[in-house]
Amino acid sequence: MENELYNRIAVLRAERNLSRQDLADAVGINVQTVGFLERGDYSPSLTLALDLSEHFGLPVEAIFSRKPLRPLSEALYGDHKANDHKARRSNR
Amino acid sequence: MTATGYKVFGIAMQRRGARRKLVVVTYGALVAFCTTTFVLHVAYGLGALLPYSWSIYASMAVSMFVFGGNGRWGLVKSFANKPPQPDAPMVEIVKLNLAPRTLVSQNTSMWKNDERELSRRDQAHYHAYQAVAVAVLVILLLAFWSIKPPLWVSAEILREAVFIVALLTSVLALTLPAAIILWTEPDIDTPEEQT
Repeated sequence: MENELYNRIAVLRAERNLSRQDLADAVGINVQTVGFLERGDYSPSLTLALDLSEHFGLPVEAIFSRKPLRPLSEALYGDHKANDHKARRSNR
Repeated sequence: MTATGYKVFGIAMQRRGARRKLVVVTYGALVAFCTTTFVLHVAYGLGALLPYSWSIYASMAVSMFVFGGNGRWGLVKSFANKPPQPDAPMVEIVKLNLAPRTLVSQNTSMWKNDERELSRRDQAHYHAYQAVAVAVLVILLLAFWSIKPPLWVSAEILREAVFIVALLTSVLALTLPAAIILWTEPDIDTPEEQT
């Protein structure tokens, strides 16, 4: 089994207008480590993953995944489109 | 990785390529230095301890001021994961040889290794340990042979070989963990890339 871990840290950080240094200070890691996490070069410990989840106010599975993550916009609105399509088909 | 900026002799070391060049050049210089002292020892009979101690001092200087890992200088953050002892303030009691310790606590954040750095440190020590363990076994084998030399080599050559391998093992033991970190750590983001 591959040891790949995908994450949305870069997107979440950009959404919240945080610099890498801000995020690093908030969770108590080195600024370089934020870069390694964002590029997927480093898989965090459970403690750090939980710290990040707490900092962003999101469940861990919304930030990290063993499978490639869908873009947030698609995750939010993609299902709506599919559901609308299904609803229209059932109405016919 | 680094505690004191990313520069050695004014040359930026953010890129892994630059760090690898530094490691190669430094080890080249150390080997040249050890060879010179050894040749002096053989040619002029300076005594075995002299080249050995010079080489150890050179390795300690490299470890302390270039590679790092052992205090406030060098590229790699202190392996001890705590800030070095701050300088004592120059006050009157210093003159009385009372050796005061500073009461001002230091900012530990820049000296603290986070979990990724600690894992890199431990990995580097593990790999360095394997290399040093092999070298120690080679020393043992050579020492054993020097007691009962095989037909194809003299006891004198084996004794010198024990000395040379012991010298190189000491150099590696002092410098290898930090060198492995410098060699393997990927490129470091510049401040512009960090936003």
